[in-house]
Amino acid sequence: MEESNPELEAFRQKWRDEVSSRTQEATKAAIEGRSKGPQKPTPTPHIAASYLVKTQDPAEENDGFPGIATRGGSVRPDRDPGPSNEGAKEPESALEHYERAVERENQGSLGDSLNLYRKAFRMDHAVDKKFKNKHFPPSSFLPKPTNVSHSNGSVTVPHTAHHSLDGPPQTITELIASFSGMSIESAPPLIEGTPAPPCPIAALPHEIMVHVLMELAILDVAAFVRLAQVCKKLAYMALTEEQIWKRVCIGDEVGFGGMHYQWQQEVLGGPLELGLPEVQSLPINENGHEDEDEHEDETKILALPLSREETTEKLLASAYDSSWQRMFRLRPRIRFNGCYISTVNYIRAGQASVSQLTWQSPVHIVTYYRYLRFFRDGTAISLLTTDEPADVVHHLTKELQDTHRGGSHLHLPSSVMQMSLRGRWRLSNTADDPEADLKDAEGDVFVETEGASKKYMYRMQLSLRNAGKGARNNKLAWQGFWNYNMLTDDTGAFPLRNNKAFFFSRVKSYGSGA
Amino acid sequence: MAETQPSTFITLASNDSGSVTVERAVAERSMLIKNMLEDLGEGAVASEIPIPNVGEQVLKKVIEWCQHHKNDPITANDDDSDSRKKTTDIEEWDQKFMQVDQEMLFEIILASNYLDIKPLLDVGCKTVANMIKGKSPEEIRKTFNITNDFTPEEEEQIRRENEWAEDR
Repeated sequence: MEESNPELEAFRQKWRDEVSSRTQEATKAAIEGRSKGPQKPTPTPHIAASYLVKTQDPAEENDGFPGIATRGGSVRPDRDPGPSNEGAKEPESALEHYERAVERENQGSLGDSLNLYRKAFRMDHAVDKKFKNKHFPPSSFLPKPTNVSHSNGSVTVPHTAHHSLDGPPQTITELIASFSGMSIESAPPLIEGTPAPPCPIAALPHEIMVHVLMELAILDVAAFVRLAQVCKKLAYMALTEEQIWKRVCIGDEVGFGGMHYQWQQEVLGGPLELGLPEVQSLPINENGHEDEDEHEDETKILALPLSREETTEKLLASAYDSSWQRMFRLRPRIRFNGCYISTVNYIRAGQASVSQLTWQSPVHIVTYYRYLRFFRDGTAISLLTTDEPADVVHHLTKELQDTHRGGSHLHLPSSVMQMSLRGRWRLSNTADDPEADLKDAEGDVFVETEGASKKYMYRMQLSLRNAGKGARNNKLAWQGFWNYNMLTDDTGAFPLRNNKAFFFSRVKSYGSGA
Repeated sequence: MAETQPSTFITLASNDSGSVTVERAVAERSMLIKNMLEDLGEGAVASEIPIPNVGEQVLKKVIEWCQHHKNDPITANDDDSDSRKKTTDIEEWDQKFMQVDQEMLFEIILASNYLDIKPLLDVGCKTVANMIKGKSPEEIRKTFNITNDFTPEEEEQIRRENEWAEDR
């Protein structure tokens, strides 16, 4: 099994030579470090299977969740012209197999992916390290040291000789600050000597430009930030105009004006019935959340100690360095323009064939999905199904939920919605955890839904987390999951063993969210 | 005031010695003109009012807008960004009105700023925002004839710095 791919070996040798000739000790050390990497045992099917699980967990911990990577496009094979990539051109290489395996895994077809992982590890036992280095280098998305382009500011191994020409890379803040005096330059004429094409946008005074950008930011924050890549002046404006970021934060389009820190309605919809005792909510025991609902009740009547605006102002100064941009980026926030998907894969031992002598034991690979979609009015849809995201997300609407309520219209492609549960959501607030400071009190989201049968209610507690490079608020990690039997007034906890975190996926058909 | 004297007309003089005669109520969509008329008193109504920063063509276009919107309720004048939130949509007539070449569009924006016609300025800025939305940086440069003054390193650094905001 340890037989190595001669082509790959040759390539690795070449690469080593190239690296060491270019940069001396530092890189060499890194190479040694790499080749000294964990010596994984030769994979047998079992180990390959355990790899599957293993590779996912650490990836979730540190920024590298494969799903997000694919979404961001960084798993595309020909992205960075690093050395490992030359290998990827060879469809036979271990890395190529590994990449495809990851792709398959993301699509949920574990069987295929398992085979590919096996092949990859058979060819090169350290392929997972290579993969990680290629797609998730420790410091940045930048290509590996041997990259011929000199453009990168930071790389995985220190080799300053390489960069002495450019001097030390500037930090982004310095860079942006250096743009402060810039103005928009009009494009040069297509033909020399002819008048330059008109550039009327350059003539706009600063305050009007701010106005334009404000409108743009309200329309689409991503488009506003993307503007920073157009020219220096716009970069300076997009990254420093706090008044625009303030508007984004306060607004309810994508900002915190649209967040709910208290329930907006009953679990099944309909206005909150303030006068009634809280039979609808779930008294949670065990995990120290007993007082939840009493608090809620109070807050509904007494309102929170701080109003939403006061909270925002306080947080701005205390937790986000008085930067609205920072707040927008970091403060826990539910997103409406897509849904949150939790893919659960697990492997269950199967019955080995009695009539055949085999080295392998069969396993069942179980895959199912949980979907959560949040709505601006404080309602939510929760759906547990084996149907894949492509067949589900577009149907995840309240209209279709109503259509299929009670199992009607099963011939429609949206029939998956018959199993969907109505519910409501809110973010946590200081009343949930009086001990925590203002900032930490905000990180959780509670979702309460109807149960699979009428006498039950479910309650989920999830934490807003981050996954992927720089992205924020795109992951919901499980904190707890309880059911409440309304007839007997019993609460039970669901085990979280197989529950995987939810990851946000943008869904274009939702627009900016209903 | 305007309602009680519906038939008063005033004449505006553009910077390229054109002149436009317009109903006073229409012209008073412009806070600049409105305040000027109030300050100068009734006597000034008879004489031409110079609008030194605006050309005739643009002035006519702006007046066309004022004419169509003369019965709109005048919004509060305080420049509070919250007051004009929510309405990111541009009404149909305004969309058609703004289908002009880019130079004219920016002239209208500048004129509405100078004449202090907030709703028109809003429409103008929203129109530009819509032109930017959904375009790649390179397409934006092409659309507005902007030079890329970044070095490749800077461009890459900025792109990386802003990755977090994609897909919002």
